[in-house]
Amino acid sequence: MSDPLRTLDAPGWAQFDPVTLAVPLFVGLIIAEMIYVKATGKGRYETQDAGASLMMGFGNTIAKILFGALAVGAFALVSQHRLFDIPWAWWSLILCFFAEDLAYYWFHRISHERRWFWASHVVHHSSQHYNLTTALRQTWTGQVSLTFVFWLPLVWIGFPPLMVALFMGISLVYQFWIHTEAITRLGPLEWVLNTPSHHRVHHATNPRYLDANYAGVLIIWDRLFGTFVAEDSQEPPRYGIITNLGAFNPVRIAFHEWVGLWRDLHQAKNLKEVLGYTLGPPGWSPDGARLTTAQIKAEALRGEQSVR
Amino acid sequence: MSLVQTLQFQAFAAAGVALLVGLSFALGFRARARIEDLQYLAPTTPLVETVLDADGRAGVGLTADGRLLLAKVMGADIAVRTTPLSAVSRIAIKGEDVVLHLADLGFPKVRLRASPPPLWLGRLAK
Repeated sequence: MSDPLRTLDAPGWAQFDPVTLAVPLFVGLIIAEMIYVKATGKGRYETQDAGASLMMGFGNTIAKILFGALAVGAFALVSQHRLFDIPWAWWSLILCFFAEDLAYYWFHRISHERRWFWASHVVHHSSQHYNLTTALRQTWTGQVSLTFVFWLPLVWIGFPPLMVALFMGISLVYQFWIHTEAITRLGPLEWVLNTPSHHRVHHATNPRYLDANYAGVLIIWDRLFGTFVAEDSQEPPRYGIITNLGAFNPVRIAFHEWVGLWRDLHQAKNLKEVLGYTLGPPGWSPDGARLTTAQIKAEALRGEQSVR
Repeated sequence: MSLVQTLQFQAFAAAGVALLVGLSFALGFRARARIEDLQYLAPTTPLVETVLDADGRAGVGLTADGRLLLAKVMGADIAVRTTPLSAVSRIAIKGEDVVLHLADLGFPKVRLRASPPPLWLGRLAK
Protein backbone atom coordinates (compact mmCIF):
# COMPACT_ATOMS: atom_id res chain seq x y z
CA MET A 1 0.00 0.00 0.00
CA SER A 2 1.56 3.31 -1.06
CA ASP A 3 -0.23 5.51 1.49
CA PRO A 4 -0.43 3.49 4.72
CA LEU A 5 -1.22 6.58 6.83
CA ARG A 6 -3.94 7.63 4.36
CA THR A 7 -2.63 11.18 4.17
CA LEU A 8 -3.64 11.57 0.51
CA ASP A 9 -7.37 11.57 1.26
CA ALA A 10 -7.01 13.92 4.25
CA PRO A 11 -8.33 17.44 3.70
CA GLY A 12 -5.77 20.24 3.73
CA TRP A 13 -7.21 21.86 6.86
CA ALA A 14 -6.61 18.69 8.84
CA GLN A 15 -2.89 18.51 8.15
CA PHE A 16 -1.55 20.37 11.14
CA ASP A 17 -0.33 19.57 14.63
CA PRO A 18 -2.59 21.26 17.21
CA VAL A 19 0.07 21.00 19.92
CA THR A 20 2.74 22.80 17.89
CA LEU A 21 0.30 25.54 16.99
CA ALA A 22 -0.77 25.91 20.62
CA VAL A 23 2.71 26.49 22.07
CA PRO A 24 2.50 30.32 21.86
CA LEU A 25 -0.92 30.07 23.53
CA PHE A 26 0.59 27.93 26.30
CA VAL A 27 3.30 30.51 26.93
CA GLY A 28 0.82 33.39 26.94
CA LEU A 29 -1.60 31.68 29.32
CA ILE A 30 1.18 30.69 31.74
CA ILE A 31 2.34 34.34 31.85
CA ALA A 32 -1.25 35.42 32.50
CA GLU A 33 -1.69 32.83 35.26
CA MET A 34 1.59 33.81 36.94
CA ILE A 35 0.52 37.45 37.02
CA TYR A 36 -2.93 36.45 38.28
CA VAL A 37 -1.44 34.34 41.09
CA LYS A 38 0.91 37.15 42.04
CA ALA A 39 -1.90 39.70 42.06
CA THR A 40 -4.57 37.66 43.85
CA GLY A 41 -2.70 35.04 45.83
CA LYS A 42 -5.06 32.42 44.38
CA GLY A 43 -2.99 29.46 43.25
CA ARG A 44 0.68 28.69 43.78
CA TYR A 45 3.90 28.91 41.79
CA GLU A 46 7.47 28.06 42.73
CA THR A 47 10.31 28.77 40.35
CA GLN A 48 12.23 25.49 40.69
CA ASP A 49 9.07 23.45 40.36
CA ALA A 50 7.87 25.44 37.36
CA GLY A 51 11.32 25.15 35.76
CA ALA A 52 11.32 21.38 36.23
CA SER A 53 7.84 21.09 34.73
CA LEU A 54 8.79 23.21 31.72
CA MET A 55 11.97 21.21 31.16
CA MET A 56 9.93 18.01 31.21
CA GLY A 57 7.65 19.50 28.56
CA PHE A 58 10.63 20.56 26.45
CA GLY A 59 12.18 17.10 26.79
CA ASN A 60 8.87 15.54 25.80
CA THR A 61 8.96 17.32 22.44
CA ILE A 62 12.48 16.01 21.82
CA ALA A 63 11.45 12.47 22.81
CA LYS A 64 8.61 12.66 20.31
CA ILE A 65 11.05 13.65 17.56
CA LEU A 66 13.38 10.79 18.49
CA PHE A 67 10.82 8.04 19.04
CA GLY A 68 7.62 9.25 17.36
CA ALA A 69 8.34 6.95 14.43
CA LEU A 70 7.34 4.01 16.64
CA ALA A 71 3.76 5.28 16.89
CA VAL A 72 3.64 6.34 13.24
CA GLY A 73 4.91 2.92 12.17
CA ALA A 74 2.37 1.10 14.34
CA PHE A 75 -0.48 3.29 13.02
CA ALA A 76 0.63 2.62 9.42
CA LEU A 77 0.92 -1.11 10.01
CA VAL A 78 -2.47 -1.46 11.69
CA SER A 79 -4.14 0.79 9.12
CA GLN A 80 -3.18 -1.67 6.41
CA HIS A 81 -5.35 -4.29 8.14
CA ARG A 82 -8.30 -2.00 8.91
CA LEU A 83 -11.82 -3.34 8.96
CA PHE A 84 -13.52 -0.41 7.23
CA ASP A 85 -12.57 2.57 5.08
CA ILE A 86 -13.98 5.37 7.20
CA PRO A 87 -13.82 8.57 5.13
CA TRP A 88 -13.17 12.15 6.22
CA ALA A 89 -16.74 13.40 6.76
CA TRP A 90 -18.65 15.37 9.37
CA TRP A 91 -20.12 12.24 10.90
CA SER A 92 -16.81 10.42 11.06
CA LEU A 93 -15.21 13.44 12.75
CA ILE A 94 -17.90 13.34 15.44
CA LEU A 95 -17.52 9.60 15.87
CA CYS A 96 -13.74 9.87 16.01
CA PHE A 97 -13.91 12.62 18.66
CA PHE A 98 -15.92 10.36 20.98
CA ALA A 99 -13.88 7.25 20.15
CA GLU A 100 -10.59 9.06 20.77
CA ASP A 101 -11.85 10.46 24.06
CA LEU A 102 -12.91 6.97 25.17
CA ALA A 103 -9.51 5.57 24.15
CA TYR A 104 -7.87 8.36 26.15
CA TYR A 105 -9.95 7.48 29.22
CA TRP A 106 -8.73 3.88 29.15
CA PHE A 107 -5.14 4.86 28.36
CA HIS A 108 -5.20 7.23 31.32
CA ARG A 109 -6.92 4.83 33.69
CA ILE A 110 -4.55 1.98 32.89
CA SER A 111 -1.62 4.40 33.18
CA HIS A 112 -2.61 4.73 36.84
CA GLU A 113 -3.49 1.09 37.41
CA ARG A 114 -0.53 -0.70 35.81
CA ARG A 115 3.03 0.08 36.82
CA TRP A 116 4.51 -0.31 33.32
CA PHE A 117 2.46 2.64 32.11
CA TRP A 118 2.57 4.44 35.47
CA ALA A 119 6.38 4.57 35.18
CA SER A 120 5.87 7.06 32.35
CA HIS A 121 2.75 8.79 33.60
CA VAL A 122 4.02 9.40 37.16
CA VAL A 123 6.08 12.25 35.71
CA HIS A 124 2.92 14.26 35.08
CA HIS A 125 1.82 13.86 38.70
CA SER A 126 5.19 14.46 40.32
CA SER A 127 4.72 18.17 41.07
CA GLN A 128 3.29 19.26 44.41
CA HIS A 129 1.93 22.30 42.60
CA TYR A 130 -1.07 22.55 40.33
CA ASN A 131 -0.76 25.27 37.75
CA LEU A 132 -0.46 25.56 33.98
CA THR A 133 3.20 24.52 34.01
CA THR A 134 2.09 21.21 35.57
CA ALA A 135 0.18 20.52 32.36
CA LEU A 136 3.48 20.58 30.49
CA ARG A 137 5.24 18.23 32.95
CA GLN A 138 5.12 15.33 30.51
CA THR A 139 6.87 12.00 30.17
CA TRP A 140 9.96 11.36 28.05
CA THR A 141 9.29 7.64 27.81
CA GLY A 142 5.70 7.45 26.55
CA GLN A 143 6.60 6.43 23.01
CA VAL A 144 9.16 3.78 23.95
CA SER A 145 6.83 2.28 26.55
CA LEU A 146 4.22 1.88 23.80
CA THR A 147 1.45 4.03 25.27
CA PHE A 148 0.12 4.59 21.75
CA VAL A 149 -1.32 1.04 21.68
CA PHE A 150 -4.51 2.38 23.28
CA TRP A 151 -5.36 4.25 20.08
CA LEU A 152 -4.55 1.40 17.67
CA PRO A 153 -8.10 -0.06 17.85
CA LEU A 154 -9.43 3.16 16.31
CA VAL A 155 -7.07 2.81 13.37
CA TRP A 156 -7.91 -0.88 13.10
CA ILE A 157 -11.63 -0.09 12.94
CA GLY A 158 -10.86 2.20 10.02
CA PHE A 159 -10.52 5.80 11.22
CA PRO A 160 -7.80 7.54 9.20
CA PRO A 161 -4.60 7.64 11.31
CA LEU A 162 -4.29 11.38 10.72
CA MET A 163 -7.81 11.91 12.05
CA VAL A 164 -6.98 9.95 15.19
CA ALA A 165 -3.73 11.90 15.63
CA LEU A 166 -5.61 15.16 15.12
CA PHE A 167 -8.04 14.41 17.95
CA MET A 168 -5.20 13.16 20.17
CA GLY A 169 -3.57 16.57 19.70
CA ILE A 170 -6.81 18.49 20.27
CA SER A 171 -7.40 16.51 23.50
CA LEU A 172 -3.90 17.35 24.73
CA VAL A 173 -4.40 21.05 23.98
CA TYR A 174 -7.81 20.99 25.70
CA GLN A 175 -6.31 19.46 28.83
CA PHE A 176 -3.77 22.26 29.18
CA TRP A 177 -6.12 24.91 30.56
CA ILE A 178 -7.72 22.65 33.18
CA HIS A 179 -4.46 22.55 35.17
CA THR A 180 -5.25 25.62 37.23
CA GLU A 181 -6.51 26.67 40.63
CA ALA A 182 -7.59 30.02 39.22
CA ILE A 183 -10.93 28.65 37.99
CA THR A 184 -13.29 27.24 40.61
CA ARG A 185 -16.42 25.72 39.01
CA LEU A 186 -18.08 26.07 35.61
CA GLY A 187 -21.75 25.45 36.39
CA PRO A 188 -23.60 22.97 34.15
CA LEU A 189 -20.47 22.35 32.08
CA GLU A 190 -19.19 20.31 35.03
CA TRP A 191 -21.68 17.60 34.06
CA VAL A 192 -20.21 16.98 30.65
CA LEU A 193 -16.71 18.40 30.40
CA ASN A 194 -13.50 17.65 32.21
CA THR A 195 -12.93 20.90 34.10
CA PRO A 196 -10.28 22.39 36.38
CA SER A 197 -12.32 21.23 39.38
CA HIS A 198 -12.55 17.62 38.16
CA HIS A 199 -8.90 17.52 37.23
CA ARG A 200 -7.76 18.97 40.56
CA VAL A 201 -9.34 15.89 42.12
CA HIS A 202 -7.41 13.71 39.69
CA HIS A 203 -4.09 15.27 40.74
CA ALA A 204 -4.82 15.03 44.46
CA THR A 205 -3.31 12.52 46.89
CA ASN A 206 -6.07 12.80 49.51
CA PRO A 207 -7.21 9.17 49.90
CA ARG A 208 -10.80 9.91 48.89
CA TYR A 209 -9.60 11.57 45.68
CA LEU A 210 -7.25 8.77 44.58
CA ASP A 211 -7.90 6.89 41.31
CA ALA A 212 -10.58 9.25 40.05
CA ASN A 213 -11.47 11.45 37.07
CA TYR A 214 -9.40 9.98 34.25
CA ALA A 215 -11.26 11.93 31.57
CA GLY A 216 -9.63 13.72 28.67
CA VAL A 217 -12.24 16.13 27.32
CA LEU A 218 -15.55 14.57 28.47
CA ILE A 219 -16.14 13.63 32.11
CA ILE A 220 -19.01 11.38 31.00
CA TRP A 221 -16.66 8.37 30.84
CA ASP A 222 -15.87 8.65 34.56
CA ARG A 223 -19.53 8.97 35.37
CA LEU A 224 -20.24 5.94 33.17
CA PHE A 225 -17.46 3.69 34.50
CA GLY A 226 -17.80 4.67 38.17
CA THR A 227 -14.55 6.59 38.63
CA PHE A 228 -16.04 10.07 39.05
CA VAL A 229 -15.38 11.94 42.29
CA ALA A 230 -16.54 15.54 42.77
CA GLU A 231 -14.28 18.12 44.38
CA ASP A 232 -15.32 18.84 47.96
CA SER A 233 -14.75 22.45 48.97
CA GLN A 234 -14.29 21.22 52.56
CA GLU A 235 -11.34 19.09 51.54
CA PRO A 236 -8.79 20.98 49.44
CA PRO A 237 -6.64 18.75 47.22
CA ARG A 238 -3.06 17.97 48.24
CA TYR A 239 -1.17 17.63 44.98
CA GLY A 240 1.63 15.29 44.01
CA ILE A 241 2.22 11.57 44.45
CA ILE A 242 2.02 9.33 47.51
CA THR A 243 5.81 9.43 47.92
CA ASN A 244 6.73 12.87 46.65
CA LEU A 245 9.99 13.40 44.82
CA GLY A 246 12.99 14.90 46.55
CA ALA A 247 14.55 16.19 43.33
CA PHE A 248 13.94 18.85 40.69
CA ASN A 249 16.44 17.27 38.31
CA PRO A 250 14.50 16.49 35.07
CA VAL A 251 16.48 13.29 34.43
CA ARG A 252 15.59 11.98 37.90
CA ILE A 253 11.95 12.98 37.38
CA ALA A 254 11.85 11.20 34.01
CA PHE A 255 13.45 7.93 35.05
CA HIS A 256 13.01 7.42 38.80
CA GLU A 257 10.09 5.01 38.51
CA TRP A 258 11.74 3.07 35.68
CA VAL A 259 14.85 2.59 37.84
CA GLY A 260 12.64 1.54 40.76
CA LEU A 261 10.87 -0.97 38.53
CA TRP A 262 14.19 -2.29 37.22
CA ARG A 263 15.50 -2.79 40.77
CA ASP A 264 12.33 -4.62 41.77
CA LEU A 265 12.55 -6.86 38.71
CA HIS A 266 16.17 -7.60 39.54
CA GLN A 267 15.01 -9.01 42.89
CA ALA A 268 11.99 -10.88 41.52
CA LYS A 269 12.13 -14.60 42.33
CA ASN A 270 9.74 -15.95 39.72
CA LEU A 271 7.57 -15.05 36.75
CA LYS A 272 4.61 -14.24 38.99
CA GLU A 273 6.66 -11.57 40.74
CA VAL A 274 7.94 -10.21 37.42
CA LEU A 275 4.36 -9.87 36.18
CA GLY A 276 3.21 -8.44 39.50
CA TYR A 277 5.85 -5.73 39.51
CA THR A 278 5.37 -4.89 35.83
CA LEU A 279 1.65 -5.25 35.24
CA GLY A 280 0.34 -5.05 38.79
CA PRO A 281 -0.80 -1.78 40.29
CA PRO A 282 1.85 0.72 41.45
CA GLY A 283 2.74 -0.20 45.03
CA TRP A 284 2.32 -3.93 44.47
CA SER A 285 4.89 -6.12 46.19
CA PRO A 286 5.01 -9.91 46.73
CA ASP A 287 4.91 -9.62 50.53
CA GLY A 288 2.40 -6.78 50.61
CA ALA A 289 4.92 -4.55 52.38
CA ARG A 290 3.98 -1.60 50.19
CA LEU A 291 0.54 -0.19 49.65
CA THR A 292 -1.38 0.28 46.41
CA THR A 293 -3.68 3.28 46.06
CA ALA A 294 -6.70 0.98 46.43
CA GLN A 295 -5.32 -0.22 49.78
CA ILE A 296 -4.57 3.36 50.89
CA LYS A 297 -8.09 4.35 49.98
CA ALA A 298 -9.59 1.35 51.82
CA GLU A 299 -7.49 2.02 54.95
CA ALA A 300 -8.55 5.66 54.98
CA LEU A 301 -12.20 4.63 54.63
CA ARG A 302 -11.85 2.16 57.54
CA GLY A 303 -10.28 4.97 59.58
CA GLU A 304 -13.18 7.30 58.81
CA GLN A 305 -15.72 4.62 59.74
CA SER A 306 -14.00 3.85 63.04
CA VAL A 307 -14.04 7.56 63.92
CA ARG A 308 -17.81 7.60 63.34
CA MET B 1 7.85 19.34 9.54
CA SER B 2 11.29 19.79 7.97
CA LEU B 3 14.50 19.62 9.98
CA VAL B 4 14.86 23.41 9.86
CA GLN B 5 11.29 23.91 11.05
CA THR B 6 11.85 21.36 13.81
CA LEU B 7 14.97 23.16 14.99
CA GLN B 8 13.17 26.51 14.83
CA PHE B 9 10.34 25.08 16.92
CA GLN B 10 12.76 23.67 19.50
CA ALA B 11 14.61 26.99 19.70
CA PHE B 12 11.31 28.80 20.20
CA ALA B 13 10.26 26.30 22.90
CA ALA B 14 13.61 26.65 24.69
CA ALA B 15 13.28 30.43 24.62
CA GLY B 16 9.77 30.06 26.04
CA VAL B 17 11.08 27.92 28.91
CA ALA B 18 13.79 30.48 29.70
CA LEU B 19 11.30 33.34 29.55
CA LEU B 20 8.82 31.65 31.89
CA VAL B 21 11.44 30.56 34.43
CA GLY B 22 12.87 34.09 34.41
CA LEU B 23 9.42 35.61 34.86
CA SER B 24 8.60 33.23 37.70
CA PHE B 25 11.84 34.22 39.45
CA ALA B 26 11.24 37.91 38.82
CA LEU B 27 7.73 37.69 40.24
CA GLY B 28 9.21 36.35 43.46
CA PHE B 29 7.91 32.78 43.42
CA ARG B 30 10.79 31.72 45.62
CA ALA B 31 9.07 30.79 48.87
CA ARG B 32 11.00 28.33 51.03
CA ALA B 33 9.33 25.87 53.34
CA ARG B 34 10.95 25.27 56.72
CA ILE B 35 10.93 22.02 58.68
CA GLU B 36 10.41 22.69 62.37
CA ASP B 37 8.78 19.49 63.53
CA LEU B 38 9.25 16.03 62.04
CA GLN B 39 6.45 14.40 64.01
CA TYR B 40 4.01 16.86 62.45
CA LEU B 41 5.00 15.58 59.00
CA ALA B 42 4.33 11.96 59.93
CA PRO B 43 1.76 11.98 62.73
CA THR B 44 1.13 8.23 62.63
CA THR B 45 4.80 7.23 62.68
CA PRO B 46 6.22 7.14 66.23
CA LEU B 47 9.69 8.68 66.30
CA VAL B 48 12.25 7.84 68.97
CA GLU B 49 15.02 10.15 67.75
CA THR B 50 15.03 13.23 65.51
CA VAL B 51 17.51 15.73 64.17
CA LEU B 52 16.69 18.87 62.21
CA ASP B 53 18.84 20.98 59.94
CA ALA B 54 19.89 24.23 61.58
CA ASP B 55 18.17 26.18 58.79
CA GLY B 56 15.10 23.94 58.66
CA ARG B 57 15.99 22.56 55.22
CA ALA B 58 15.88 18.90 56.20
CA GLY B 59 15.26 16.47 59.01
CA VAL B 60 15.90 12.85 59.89
CA GLY B 61 14.01 10.74 62.38
CA LEU B 62 14.43 7.20 63.68
CA THR B 63 11.15 5.36 64.02
CA ALA B 64 10.26 2.99 66.84
CA ASP B 65 10.55 0.02 64.46
CA GLY B 66 14.03 0.99 63.26
CA ARG B 67 13.23 2.76 60.02
CA LEU B 68 14.27 6.25 59.01
CA LEU B 69 11.97 9.17 58.37
CA LEU B 70 13.60 11.58 55.95
CA ALA B 71 12.28 15.01 55.10
CA LYS B 72 13.67 17.70 52.85
CA VAL B 73 12.49 21.06 51.65
CA MET B 74 11.53 21.14 47.99
CA GLY B 75 11.03 24.80 47.25
CA ALA B 76 7.79 25.84 48.93
CA ASP B 77 6.98 22.22 49.82
CA ILE B 78 8.40 19.32 51.77
CA ALA B 79 9.05 15.78 50.54
CA VAL B 80 9.00 12.95 53.06
CA ARG B 81 10.15 9.32 52.91
CA THR B 82 9.92 6.55 55.46
CA THR B 83 12.46 3.98 54.49
CA PRO B 84 14.30 0.96 55.92
CA LEU B 85 17.92 1.53 56.89
CA SER B 86 18.95 -0.75 54.03
CA ALA B 87 17.69 1.88 51.53
CA VAL B 88 20.32 4.33 52.78
CA SER B 89 23.47 3.58 50.86
CA ARG B 90 25.79 5.87 52.84
CA ILE B 91 25.76 8.33 55.71
CA ALA B 92 28.61 10.82 55.58
CA ILE B 93 29.33 12.98 58.66
CA LYS B 94 31.94 15.69 58.44
CA GLY B 95 31.95 18.17 61.27
CA GLU B 96 28.46 19.65 61.44
CA ASP B 97 27.50 18.45 57.96
CA VAL B 98 25.56 15.25 57.49
CA VAL B 99 24.64 13.75 54.13
CA LEU B 100 22.48 10.67 53.74
CA HIS B 101 22.70 9.08 50.30
CA LEU B 102 19.77 6.96 49.14
CA ALA B 103 19.45 4.44 46.34
CA ASP B 104 16.09 6.01 45.38
CA LEU B 105 16.60 8.00 42.17
CA GLY B 106 13.64 10.22 43.06
CA PHE B 107 14.94 11.01 46.54
CA PRO B 108 18.70 10.86 46.15
CA LYS B 109 20.06 12.56 49.25
CA VAL B 110 19.27 14.47 52.41
CA ARG B 111 21.76 17.07 53.52
CA LEU B 112 21.64 18.77 56.90
CA ARG B 113 23.76 20.77 59.33
CA ALA B 114 23.55 19.96 63.00
CA SER B 115 25.89 21.08 65.75
CA PRO B 116 26.85 18.55 66.78
CA PRO B 117 25.34 15.68 64.79
CA PRO B 118 23.55 13.38 67.23
CA LEU B 119 25.27 10.23 68.43
CA TRP B 120 22.50 7.93 67.15
CA LEU B 121 23.11 9.18 63.62
CA GLY B 122 26.83 8.60 64.10
CA ARG B 123 26.10 5.03 65.15
CA LEU B 124 24.01 4.47 62.03
CA ALA B 125 26.83 5.82 59.89
CA LYS B 126 29.02 2.98 61.15
